[in-house]
Amino acid sequence: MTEPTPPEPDQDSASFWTALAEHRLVLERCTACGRHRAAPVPACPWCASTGTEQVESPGDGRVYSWVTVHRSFGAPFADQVPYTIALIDLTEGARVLGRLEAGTSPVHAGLAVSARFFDHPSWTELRFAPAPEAS
Amino acid sequence: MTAAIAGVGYTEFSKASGRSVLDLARAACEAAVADAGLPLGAVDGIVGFSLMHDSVPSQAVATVLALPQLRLGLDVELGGQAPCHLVGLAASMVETGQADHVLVYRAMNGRSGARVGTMQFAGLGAQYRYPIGYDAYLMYVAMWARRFLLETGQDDDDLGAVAVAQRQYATTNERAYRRAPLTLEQYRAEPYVVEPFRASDCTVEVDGACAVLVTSLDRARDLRQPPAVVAASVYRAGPRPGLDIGDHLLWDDYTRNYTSLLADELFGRAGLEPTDVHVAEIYDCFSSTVLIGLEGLGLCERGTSGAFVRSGATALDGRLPTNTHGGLLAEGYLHGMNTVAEAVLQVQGRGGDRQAPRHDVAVVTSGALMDGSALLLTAG
Ligand SMILES: [Zn+2]
Repeated sequence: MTEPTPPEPDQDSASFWTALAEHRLVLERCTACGRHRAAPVPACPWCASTGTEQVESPGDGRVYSWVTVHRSFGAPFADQVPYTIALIDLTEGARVLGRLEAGTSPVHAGLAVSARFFDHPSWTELRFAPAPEAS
Repeated sequence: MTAAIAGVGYTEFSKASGRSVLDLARAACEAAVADAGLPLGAVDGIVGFSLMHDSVPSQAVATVLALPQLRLGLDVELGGQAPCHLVGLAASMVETGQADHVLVYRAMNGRSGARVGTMQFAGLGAQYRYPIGYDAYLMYVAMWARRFLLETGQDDDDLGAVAVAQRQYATTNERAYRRAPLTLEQYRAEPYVVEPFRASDCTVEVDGACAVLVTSLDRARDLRQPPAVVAASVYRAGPRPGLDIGDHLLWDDYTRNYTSLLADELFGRAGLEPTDVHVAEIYDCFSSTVLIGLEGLGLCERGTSGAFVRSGATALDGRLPTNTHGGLLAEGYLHGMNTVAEAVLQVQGRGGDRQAPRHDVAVVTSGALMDGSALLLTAG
């Protein structure tokens, strides 16, 4: 299996990737309006406040939408099709992308999922699997 | 002063042009100027767009057109959001007398060279997409399509209806790349590429170029073709449009794109209503954006776009002929520049076998997701 090109963290996002490598999902929370965001940015996209605190998330959420990739567009993923990428609305309100672990079927909007940490040689990928109590 | 589009120019759309992108750009621009009946030297503005340097700059086009001067030269790094937006900017420059004859073009060896469909867009959001195999633009549009279909009570067959209806137009368009008729049965039999999209839900990438010439309505009236008046032009990015062209994570509602946000202003500026529109040319890198656009612009009720298409309303003898060139799905992916050009031909009454019977008002859109633009063109 060809390894995908690792993410290239920037000054804003480094904390997100560092936490994932420790198998922790860390969100940013705006200290002014209280909204959470997953991809770190220098100010709140809802209120422009730069007041930010980092909060650890248990990684629980629900599927907002998903796509199943049947034809690969990059060599690293050619032997993995079909695979499913979902948008997950975390309980805190932040929306994140993640692959649903193989065997997550059928998928439906609102499916309860929880975070999984998938280690690559040099980085850790956030994935999701059905939550234990999911119906 | 009011602006108008006075000419359109195309190259052939092919899978291997055998020409440079600069030569394609030159040829389409030259054709647009000739279509208008102007001498090349009258052009004093050139505006183009590209992604990841897949086109050539306006400066280079001015050079090979041997233009005596440029009063406007603009190159923007944008995708499908650009064509209507750039025509609007060109119109504003013309209306304020800062330029007189402005070419807006898109040129690309989009099939044999850099292909937008599988291009990895550099940007702040790239780190969250490409390493996990979320690595082609159709995946992002498919993500929206899934939620849109679920929430509006529609399904795959509604996507298929768009592909089938547009292919019908393409059978009579000699420029179209995909010209074979398509039935819903054939559509259903296609394997998924990225579910819910099959091959016929996706634009066909081509090599080629397309250009339009923007000038004042007064000048256009003295030129060779009937003017297509730029009655309104609006660009809109909604709140939290993301970190780059492929980053949709901060968008709230995937059942509504920019068309929902700009419709009121677009129609208001022209003093028109959605019911006044005779022809619609809706940006369609993928079939779902036609459905979302028809609903977003208020051309049909929310949740009814698939039924609207299936009813025949978007066919040539229907209430609202839509994507009369076959769309990007069938004519080919000139990134929506050809969507604008088709609207011009329709308003001018030059649609030939695919001419809509009523064609005094056309709406055109550019873009698929968080941001985009639109024009209302009217007969001069
Ligand atoms: Zn805030």
